[in-house]
Amino acid sequence: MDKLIKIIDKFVELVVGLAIGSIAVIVSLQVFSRFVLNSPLSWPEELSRIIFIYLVFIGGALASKKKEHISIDILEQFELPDLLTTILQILRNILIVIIMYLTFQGSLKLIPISNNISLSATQLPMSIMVLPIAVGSFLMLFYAVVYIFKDIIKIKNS
Amino acid sequence: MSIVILVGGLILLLLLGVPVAFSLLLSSMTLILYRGTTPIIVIAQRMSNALDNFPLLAIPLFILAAEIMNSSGATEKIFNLAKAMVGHLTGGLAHVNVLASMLFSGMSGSAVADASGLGMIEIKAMSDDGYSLPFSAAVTAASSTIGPIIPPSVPMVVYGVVSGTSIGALFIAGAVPGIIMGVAMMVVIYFIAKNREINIKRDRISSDKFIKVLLDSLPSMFLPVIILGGIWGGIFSPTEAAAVAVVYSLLLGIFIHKEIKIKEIPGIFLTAGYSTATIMLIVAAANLYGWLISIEQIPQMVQQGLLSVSQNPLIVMFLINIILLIMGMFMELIAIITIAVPVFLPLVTNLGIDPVFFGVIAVLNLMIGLLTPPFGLNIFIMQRVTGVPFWDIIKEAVPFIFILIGTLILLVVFPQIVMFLPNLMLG
Repeated sequence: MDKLIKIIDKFVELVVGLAIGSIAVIVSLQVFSRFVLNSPLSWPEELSRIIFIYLVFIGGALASKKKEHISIDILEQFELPDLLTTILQILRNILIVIIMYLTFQGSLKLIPISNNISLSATQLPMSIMVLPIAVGSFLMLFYAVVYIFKDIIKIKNS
Repeated sequence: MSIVILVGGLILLLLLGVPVAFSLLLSSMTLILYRGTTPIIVIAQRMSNALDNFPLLAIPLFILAAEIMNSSGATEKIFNLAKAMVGHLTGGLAHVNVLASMLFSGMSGSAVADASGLGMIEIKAMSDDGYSLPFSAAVTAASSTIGPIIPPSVPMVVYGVVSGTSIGALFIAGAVPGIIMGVAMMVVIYFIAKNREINIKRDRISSDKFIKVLLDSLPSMFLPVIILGGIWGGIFSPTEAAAVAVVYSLLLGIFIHKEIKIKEIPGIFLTAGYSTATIMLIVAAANLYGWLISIEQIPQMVQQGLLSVSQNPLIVMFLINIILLIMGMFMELIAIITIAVPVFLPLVTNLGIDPVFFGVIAVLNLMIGLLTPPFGLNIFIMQRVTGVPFWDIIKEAVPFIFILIGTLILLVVFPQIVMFLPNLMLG
């Protein structure tokens, strides 16, 4: 299990690093082509928009792993007992599992529908913009399950 | 019932500590399942639609550039420049804190990033000089709200995309209000320092030294010139300017300051990557939520309600601002922009109010929510960084909250202060 988590961690980091790096390169290239080569290209904008959706959803999985999602820590002000904090943590992650499962289902249903539409500049199927939602929601679900298990083990050990 | 699910469900989930993006999705999805007529593919449709927008790509690029500047030592150099400029005033390092945030905000666009990046340096310097930790934390939390008003700005990019307003015009319009905020905070600091007889005096730095500090920070200070000059001159789109900023800051960090090692770059990219994701997931989820709000006819109800009170633009603006202030106390600001702007904008434009002006007002208004209880995000960050209890920081932040509200009222009453620069530059 630990090995699987490590492989997924690496995959997520690789995608996020490449995505943000290539957005920077592609948009810079567009500026370069407009000024230096004096010929604006049409594909860079579309390609960077596609990569952006990968950045957001796979980046969302990285944020799940690092527990960096923006939330409101109002309950932490009350110095709740450790056990209650852990149970709340499990409850939050169960809610995340539910909503990510629904998102995953929704995006899987959208992929075949959007497969027949092609994007104007790159001619890629529109489903390429839905795929990252499916992958990302699955990965966020995965990390939530991992944290649920970790918390359950924590309760058992204490 | 639908409103109860949407609004009540959302508040309950946020109180439970469920991250904002997931809370928005969960409450939306509950309504969709309750109605039973909408297919669940809508969740993926709305989210990909919300993100498939080229101007939004400015956000990861500006975040990445600020992250690179933080690692390249540029942040310290800007701090030193601010110290050389205002360090000798009464309340010295507190002024430096504000000025450094103003200078740094010319390259960064997010208050939360400013509070945690530059904020660390500011708090350390202030407490080394003998300022109390709660006061240092409050000044840092307050000064970081200037960042998203002075361009570039992540919330303004989101507002521009949601409202269909020119991001370049919003960026120009934010400059003067941002400077007013900074000056107003420095006035507050001056009086607090006088009152408490904070006698931490620093000598005015010699002119040789000043020139050295200035030259040292010049390559970094050139970045906002490129970004803003490029956008204002119509040379780049904001997204392109952001990409140029990334390239410039990377070259600066590697070759001029020589503080970034190649092996640190992946870490910088990953941090910028997930920071982007956390913001953009909120935009995506809020798009679905906002869509349901519009299906439930809530915008019409709000608009009619407001117009039944008054048709005077100034009074309506005040009412909208009160609503936004209250929302800002309880919700995350990017989510509010995505959800509330489509509700208020038709009303605002019908009353003849410029959407650029409304954007600056809305973003400034929502900045106040970062400092107020119960959910002041910047205060939470300061609490995490300094260990000072939430309410102790809030107590010290009160004068700054009031001065920000004062600035907001000033701008609402005198829109020319905001609009004169964009009108001058864009004609």
